[in-house]
Amino acid sequence: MLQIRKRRWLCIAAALAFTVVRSEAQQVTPAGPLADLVIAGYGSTTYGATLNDDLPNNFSASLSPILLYAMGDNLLFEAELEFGLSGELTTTTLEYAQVDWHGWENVQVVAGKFLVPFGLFGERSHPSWINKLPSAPVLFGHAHGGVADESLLPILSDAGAMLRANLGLGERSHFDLSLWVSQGPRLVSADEADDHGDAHPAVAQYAPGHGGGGSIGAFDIPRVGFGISFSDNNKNKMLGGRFGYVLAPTFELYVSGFHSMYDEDSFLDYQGAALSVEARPGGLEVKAEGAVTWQEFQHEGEYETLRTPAYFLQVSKLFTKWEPVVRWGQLLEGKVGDEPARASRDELAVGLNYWLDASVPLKLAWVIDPDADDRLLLQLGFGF
Amino acid sequence: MNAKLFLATLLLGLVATPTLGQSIEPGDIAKGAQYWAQNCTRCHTARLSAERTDRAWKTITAHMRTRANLTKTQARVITAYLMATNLPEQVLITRTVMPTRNEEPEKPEETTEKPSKKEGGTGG
Repeated sequence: MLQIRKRRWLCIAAALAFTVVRSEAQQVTPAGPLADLVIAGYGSTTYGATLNDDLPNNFSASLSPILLYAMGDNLLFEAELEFGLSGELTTTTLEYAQVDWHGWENVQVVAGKFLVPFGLFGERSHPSWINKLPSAPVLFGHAHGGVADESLLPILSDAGAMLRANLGLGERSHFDLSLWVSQGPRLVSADEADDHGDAHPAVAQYAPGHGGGGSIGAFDIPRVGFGISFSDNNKNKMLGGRFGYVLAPTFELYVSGFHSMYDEDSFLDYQGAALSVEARPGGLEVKAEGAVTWQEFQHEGEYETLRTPAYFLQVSKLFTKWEPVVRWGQLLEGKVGDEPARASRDELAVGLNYWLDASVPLKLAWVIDPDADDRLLLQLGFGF
Repeated sequence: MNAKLFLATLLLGLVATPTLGQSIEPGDIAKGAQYWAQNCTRCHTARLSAERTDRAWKTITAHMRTRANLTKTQARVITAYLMATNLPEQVLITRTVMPTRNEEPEKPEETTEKPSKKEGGTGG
């Protein structure tokens, strides 16, 4: 009888202990909606030095937290903020805030403010722990969602809706399609340009005052801003798309294009086209992108079009933890007909990275810019 | 009687083991390893499964589905692979070695059940 009682108590104790252990394990994860909130992101701290005695050497830093909240299997809310310093002010930028619908096998729907898939660098490669150099190429400049004075375009982020499709061809290959409609660029005043044309906090900026990229000649080219406001300045919307072939992970080829109008009366066109290639043969990584923009404007009562091409080529190779990288880029002279209207800018960047961890590169780069002073950049990027 | 009580409690515990709604089918983990190696290194160095909890990986893979334009199936099996290899023992081994591009991951032993692990990890 005593033995039976003992055994019964043992069983109850074992059952209770098991229940307690399980409930403790479940308490590790917080209950409620916060349990599904995930924080990821990236940041960097950078030191930039120049040999020119008249220019200061600067430290800078940025932090870009990404907030992710999944609601069931098919809905994802995601947003990225950016904290940085601009002059004497702390800046906060909303890089994207979007809802993703994942209900279908091959197609996704995105709505909100998103990174525009024009080319590859702006959408995929600009975070400081992904970008192989501490600076951005001349194609997609330092400004983010703002005004690009020293590059062809800023990193494009805009409010609208997007459809993405993965059209499978085999185990490794697929056609990659993105179509979007968004508010598009808008004409900005000089004051607005100063407010929104500051450097992207995630990438180091060049010495101020260099001559590349600005208007030259007899034309006064209006400044155009992207994603600087949720209120559009006209009824027109930007329509764009990117189509690519992906042979993962060794080869990717994309063509992109967009059409928009940027003035209040929807008369002035702003168009762009880009070709992007990424190849990874034998551990080498080669990235090449070229783009052209066409900006219509009025000059002495006539409609004129500024055509500006730019490109960059980047090669890197990882040797265990060391990674040499070189990038050559050119913002070619913008022309109206045959007349020069926008200054050219060349850039050669040679760097060496040391990977402290899978998402923590320490990057040292020497940036040679014939139109400005050469610059040494040291950046610690981190992704989390 | 007592043995039945014990067995019932044990069974209840096993049934209630969290799977995060992730249905894992035969072949998923090997496929997930393949898609992880092929897609995650297209833009950046691949992140290790031990860096996050299973629950966090499910959300992060959904985020990366949009970034890399993955199919629903690809995202699902990559999540299955990350969850299956998210073992505390592996932290000590894998954290010291950084995976590089084109490096094939070790394929885990195929199983239809998620290996038991404590919910936790480095977290968000």
